[in-house]
Amino acid sequence: MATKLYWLHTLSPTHVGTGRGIGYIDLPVQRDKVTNWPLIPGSAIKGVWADYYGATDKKRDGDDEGARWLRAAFGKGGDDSSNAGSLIPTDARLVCLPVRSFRGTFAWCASPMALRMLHRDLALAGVGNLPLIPALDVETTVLHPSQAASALVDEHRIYLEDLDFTAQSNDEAGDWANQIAKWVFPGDANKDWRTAFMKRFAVLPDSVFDYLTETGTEVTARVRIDDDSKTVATGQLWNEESLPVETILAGFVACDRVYARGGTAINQDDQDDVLNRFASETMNLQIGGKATVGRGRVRCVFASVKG
Amino acid sequence: MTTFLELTCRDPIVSRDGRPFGVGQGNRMKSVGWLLPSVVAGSLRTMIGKAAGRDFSDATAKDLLQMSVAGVFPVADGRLYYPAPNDCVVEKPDDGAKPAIHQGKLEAIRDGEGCDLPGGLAPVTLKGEDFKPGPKPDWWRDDHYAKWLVTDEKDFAFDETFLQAPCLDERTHVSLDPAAGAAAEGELFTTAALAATHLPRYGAKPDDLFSRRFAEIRLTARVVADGWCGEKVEPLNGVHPLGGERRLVHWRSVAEMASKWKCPPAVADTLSKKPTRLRMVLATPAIFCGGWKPGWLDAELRGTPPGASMTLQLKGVCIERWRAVSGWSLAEPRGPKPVKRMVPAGGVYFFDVVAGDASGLAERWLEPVSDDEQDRRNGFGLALWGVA
Amino acid sequence: MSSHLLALSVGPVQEFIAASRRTRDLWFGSYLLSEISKAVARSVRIDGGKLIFPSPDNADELEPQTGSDDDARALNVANIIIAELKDRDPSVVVQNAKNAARARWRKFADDVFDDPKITRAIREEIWKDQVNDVVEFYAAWVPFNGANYPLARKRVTQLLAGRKNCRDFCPAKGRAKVPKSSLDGLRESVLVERRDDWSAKTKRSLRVRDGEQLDVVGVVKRAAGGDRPYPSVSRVAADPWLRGVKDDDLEPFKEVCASFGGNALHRLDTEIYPRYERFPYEGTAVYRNRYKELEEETGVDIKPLADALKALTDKHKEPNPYLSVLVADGDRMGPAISELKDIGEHQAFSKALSTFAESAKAIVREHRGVLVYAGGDDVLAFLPVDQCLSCARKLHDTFGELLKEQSKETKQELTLSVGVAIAHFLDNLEDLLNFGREAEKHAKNPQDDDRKPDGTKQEKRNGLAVHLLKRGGSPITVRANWSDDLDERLATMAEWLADGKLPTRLANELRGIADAYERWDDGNALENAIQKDALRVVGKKQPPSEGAMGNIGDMIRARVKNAATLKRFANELLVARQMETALRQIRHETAQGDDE
Repeated sequence: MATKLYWLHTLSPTHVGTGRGIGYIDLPVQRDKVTNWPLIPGSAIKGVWADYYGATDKKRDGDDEGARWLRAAFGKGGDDSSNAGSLIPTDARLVCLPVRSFRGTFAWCASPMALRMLHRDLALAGVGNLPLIPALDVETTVLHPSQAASALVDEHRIYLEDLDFTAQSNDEAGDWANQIAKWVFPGDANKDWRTAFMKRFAVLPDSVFDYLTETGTEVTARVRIDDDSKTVATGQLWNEESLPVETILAGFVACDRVYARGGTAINQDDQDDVLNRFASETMNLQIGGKATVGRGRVRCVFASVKG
Repeated sequence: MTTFLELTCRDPIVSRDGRPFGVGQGNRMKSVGWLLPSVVAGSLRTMIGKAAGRDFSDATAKDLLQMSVAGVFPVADGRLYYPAPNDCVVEKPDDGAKPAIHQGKLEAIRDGEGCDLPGGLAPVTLKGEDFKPGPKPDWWRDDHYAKWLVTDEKDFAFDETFLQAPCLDERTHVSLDPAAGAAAEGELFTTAALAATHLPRYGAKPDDLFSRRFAEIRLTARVVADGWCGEKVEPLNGVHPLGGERRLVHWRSVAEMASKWKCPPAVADTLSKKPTRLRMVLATPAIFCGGWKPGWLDAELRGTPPGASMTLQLKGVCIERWRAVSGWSLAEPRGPKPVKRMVPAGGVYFFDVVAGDASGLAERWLEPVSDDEQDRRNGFGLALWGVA
Repeated sequence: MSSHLLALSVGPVQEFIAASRRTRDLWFGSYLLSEISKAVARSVRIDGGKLIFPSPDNADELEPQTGSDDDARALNVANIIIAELKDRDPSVVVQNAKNAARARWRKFADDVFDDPKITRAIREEIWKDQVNDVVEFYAAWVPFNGANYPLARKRVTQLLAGRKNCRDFCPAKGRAKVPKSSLDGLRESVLVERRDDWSAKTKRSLRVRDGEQLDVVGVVKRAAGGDRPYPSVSRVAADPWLRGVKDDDLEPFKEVCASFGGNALHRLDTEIYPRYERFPYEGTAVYRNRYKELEEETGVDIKPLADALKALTDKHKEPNPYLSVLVADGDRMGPAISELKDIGEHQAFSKALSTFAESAKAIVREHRGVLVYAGGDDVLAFLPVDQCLSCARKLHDTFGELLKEQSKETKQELTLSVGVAIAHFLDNLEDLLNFGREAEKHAKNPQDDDRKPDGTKQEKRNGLAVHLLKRGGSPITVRANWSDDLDERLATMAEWLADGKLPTRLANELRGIADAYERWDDGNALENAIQKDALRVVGKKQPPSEGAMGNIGDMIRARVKNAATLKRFANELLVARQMETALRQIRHETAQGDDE
């Protein structure tokens, strides 16, 4: 089955909700059941992706070639699996969490565990020549790329939120930063972003990363104002959790072989075509709820896994 | 041709119970506790059909159904895990002392005593009438299991090498009402899936390190396939959905898994010493034409398991209440399949050997004992053997 | 022939009790199980058995219930029966009891099937596949000559457990292309495919949603025992709000309900449920977001009802959708029963338990709740949020008093642990029950961070746990032994909040501080800091009216020592906030008056 890698980069706080979450937060974000890290489910991406390509019911019903491709990629009406589209996105898993930094405003933070999970995904997808996982067993040390001057370091220390660490430059951290930067910020236009990413990339100890994924999301208190009294309506006060701006997540999209009834069957040879057509250009999406308050603006970048 | 597969999951895997789910049929999905064998078999057959570039005509479907698919079981740190046997009960003292592990036994019925068990079976008693049994781990490593099957000495304690059932991932989906920009009234629906990248370790505390709380797992399956199916299974290496909702999983064939599916030497050795009393433990749910009773037992509860040669006499049974399995048939008759009742995995049957030799059972390790041939090909009723 | 001690058990408990969508499914399932148990006990008695558990005072109590919707119905029998047999063949007694169990079930099922409005909705061939394969029955016996009762009882319990380890069952008579039951997926649906020609009566009896499927058990639970309705969870949730609505406003709405689609809205019998007389309909009627389903189930145009409700909620706001599920269970009953020296003691024990079950009915009624089940030492009930704590306390105290004698005999104080889960009425019923059971488990077993104010561990059992399950958030849980007066504290906090003596956001802010401190090592300096920090927040808050901030300060000084105890305290405030909402709804009359 043909696959491609996709990266999500949040441009505004993003809330993709869930049934039940953690603590006293009323509207928590979806989290991985095992790591408890925030994630964006594939189901939340699929719909907005189809919207991006204007795959309305009406357009999908057409007779022209465009409509046939849309049907093939995104399916047709309902969610009956016999009509499902050929494109299957996985969940997007957390790779870098932005954390406030004393120097350099914020850091793009990963952890050995986060890199190991990414490594496992990439290796299974057939990506070769992957960097090694940096070793980090000291709770008080943070790694930064040795290949670039870090914007985070202040006299051999890195200060994140109210925690301080010994800064240590590291080659593997740099290899990963380099690799991720190429994927998330591709092309000439994004050259400065790649540099900025290298300078702000950091690998945190696993326990610290876990802690920050729980406490480092954005929690906003929201209220509903009673129309009559112009005060907070009784019981209408709630906390809403969002992924912060600059969060980076990764997932896969595969193109399945589909036996469409009344649609276009996607055979093996067509799979690459579908991916090229719908999983190449960078998309600006609107994911999750609360669009009216500017939430959920996300960049989606595709990358090939071959070579 | 036998091939061993390794499955690596990423997103949570959907293995539903039989309740209808979908538009107008129920807005809530329920997951079973572990992947049903038929779910694995169905996904693999679809994958092979697609890989061969075939349409799903009757001829193709027939070939695909001939494939025997067994599993899946979790593998952690290179070791295979089996579901907890039913004839185990844990006594957890109030004072926080080490829990005691008890093994069930056939109870000798004394004069004047009785019960309404079918066919003169003896009750299987677990020490447990005066305490509430404590939680036992859901998945046991192969070496612990081997000990459980052949010795009376429980020289192991439940520690972090035992694993728990996968975490359940429930997601609430809303269908957005485009006009209102909010969730449409009553259009909430919930999916439930198994987080199958890691299994929780037994007895872990919430503030333990991640590696102490979870074991990274892969899944293993065994496939016997001939002809074009076999040709496609053998070099398998790629992604394909497993279970419902098209959650992607990586599948590949790995020759080195073969040894893990073999009867452990300690068990084979014990079986070769002509034991007179045996235990059969179900590693996957079984489907018998007599409900709880294997169809290969006659009215006197005597018979020979499929593929074996000795004659066994059933003496006692320790099984949980039946569960249902159905599914959706894409072949004719298209639609919901008939409900079948399964004896859940972990069920234990006690036998006396009345003729022949039990040593041959080492060769039947993890072979199916269900009655219907297609149920066996679908991986229902894989049996583990030991002594009682 | 010699004498025997006999133990019997019937089922299936799961299918009868857990699998349910409507409250009626749950309640009737529990009633079915009790009626079948009663039939078994009755049969054993008729065969000359001396009943030990249950131990009714007279034989009438075992007669089949006829007016089945009677809330005050007689004995609610647990699904285990113990009896002494003198000079009888146990296997004959057992066979008769088994037949009685099956006959009792068949009576319910046949009555449903023979009802013409139901018959037309049923696929007879599938019904017949299933109807004789529902009841589960297990039995064991030991010789008993009157000496050493504890040993004989232990032995028969052991044999019954061993017998139940073989859950023998028949193969399914499955059918292809037939959808499965929506309640649990265990059997094929017995409902016909086409429903558009069903009469209004059929629809009203079965109340199936579009696409909902029921097997034989599901249909019997939905339709047996006549049309008399049972209070729904939505009615219980709406209760505080309904009490707050002015009579003048409620009366016109009730009139619309009464005339709505000719009985389409189930009307509760106010002789059985006098506590709901103020509004004797299902709560669905006052929750706008249930109207779509109501329309679907009844096939009646919803508009007149919607208009009337709008008039009401414009004036009185929306009813809060939360209710409480109470699950109570006696502590260490197994070991206690093993201490009973003879049949007489055990019978007295059974009687004490059934007196408690009787009292539980009255207590739940007094607290405006509905009882699903009270048998042996188990209680399951739904209660309005403002009533759950006082109901829990009353049950606990009553249990202790009624079993005082038995506490002496069994050499341990017999206590009751109670779990209360506060959750949304739209949560799946199966989930609501599980929430309640989780809370009950927690009431028995404190978690590591459940501490007394002095930092020592709480004792196991004899506890109260309250779990708040907001839709969206993970559970907020509090637990204490009864001696810590958690119930009183929560009630007081809720009053303060409702009186405006505490700011609403205080709970969240304290919880925020607790989370911030969570990773720090405990120590004296820290205790000081955490307490000071919490008091600082309290000090700077301005309550909307004459405050109770001083009292809260005192509580913090007495109860907050570290992050864990602060979190616990904040959790108590968070739970109290949900109770505050209920209090405010009850007081709506005055609050509304003030606004105007």
